[in-house]
Amino acid sequence: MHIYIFDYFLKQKKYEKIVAKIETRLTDLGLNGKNCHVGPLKSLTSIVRDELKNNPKTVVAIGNNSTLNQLINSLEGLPVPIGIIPVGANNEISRSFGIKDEDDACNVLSARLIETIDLGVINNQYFISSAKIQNKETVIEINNQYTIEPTGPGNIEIINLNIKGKNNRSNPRDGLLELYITVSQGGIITKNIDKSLIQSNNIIVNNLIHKDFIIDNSVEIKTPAQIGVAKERLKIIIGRERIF
Amino acid sequence: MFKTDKNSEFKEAETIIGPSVKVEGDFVGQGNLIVEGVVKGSVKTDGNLKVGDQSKIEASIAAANAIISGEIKGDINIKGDLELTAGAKIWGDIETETICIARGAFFSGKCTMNDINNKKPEENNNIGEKEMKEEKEKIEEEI
Repeated sequence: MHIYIFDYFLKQKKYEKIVAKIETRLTDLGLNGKNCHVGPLKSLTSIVRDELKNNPKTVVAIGNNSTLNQLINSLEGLPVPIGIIPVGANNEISRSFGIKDEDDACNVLSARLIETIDLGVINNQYFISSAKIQNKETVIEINNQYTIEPTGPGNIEIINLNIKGKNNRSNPRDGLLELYITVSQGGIITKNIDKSLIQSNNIIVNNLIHKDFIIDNSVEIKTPAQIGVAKERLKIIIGRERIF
Repeated sequence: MFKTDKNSEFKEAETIIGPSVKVEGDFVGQGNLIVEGVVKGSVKTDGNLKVGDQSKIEASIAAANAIISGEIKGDINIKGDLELTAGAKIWGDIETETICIARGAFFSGKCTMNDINNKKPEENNNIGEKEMKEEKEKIEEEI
């Protein structure tokens, strides 16, 4: 049986028609299953834990990047295929899976093209795309062998799946993360951005002013953070237009 | 001195140490490496190494092939070809198979050449700013 988990924000009136349309479309495609709605007394995690006992064929998150991140962190490593139906903003991850909108997502679920990908792990929390932090007062340790210290303001981004498009180095099936360090140099007019790139699967980041990481553009994680790769951890239903 | 296929290998650099980062410790890599920043410790890669003109390295270096334009205080061990461009400043011993030193480069140390009798003369294909620029542009597109 398919399990469909509708995120809490979809209870807003402006999403009523979209939710109804998704339910109709899934029925038309013969993909109907159990619809579960996240509420104030029922979290996505508790829904997933309950439903996993019934060995579902697929668990589908209806929502955004945050919904998807909660879902992957609720699976407890079980190999059940997951899907995403993007609704509203903050849906870059589903677009990188070749899913443009809710209509497209239903067709993708029907085609059921399943890919196994790596997940990033930061302090025992999974992420699909990236973990970002400001690089002020930040020290990075790679493979317990050497440290990297940015010498100016900028950002640090650790990428498993680059959601910014094709033609990039990141591959969520290579067992490696790409560490990008950007440092801004110069003034407002003559701004120059220096970039560094390192590949690793064992990164420790310590921020001395206790800034947080943001994973998958949605969830905050405290530092110091140990970051690695969970190889081939997630089975996900993707579209043919995926970027990897 | 450098073969054309080695030029293309630099375009696929797996690691780039930019000019605004400091690296301390033992860097061990398997792919091609571009260093433009500050490195203290040791640098070892199975691939090719390019040291930019802004870089300052206080480390021993080991790589398959290397092009050096910056400052290095430490010993350099290269399996294949080593090129020192006009801006290169080296304080340390060099061990390599072939070497090309441009006019204006500074080198203070001992140089040991390996297997020179087995080496055939090759066309001189300098790897310069063009490859570095292409690599930077590729990274900028990704970020």
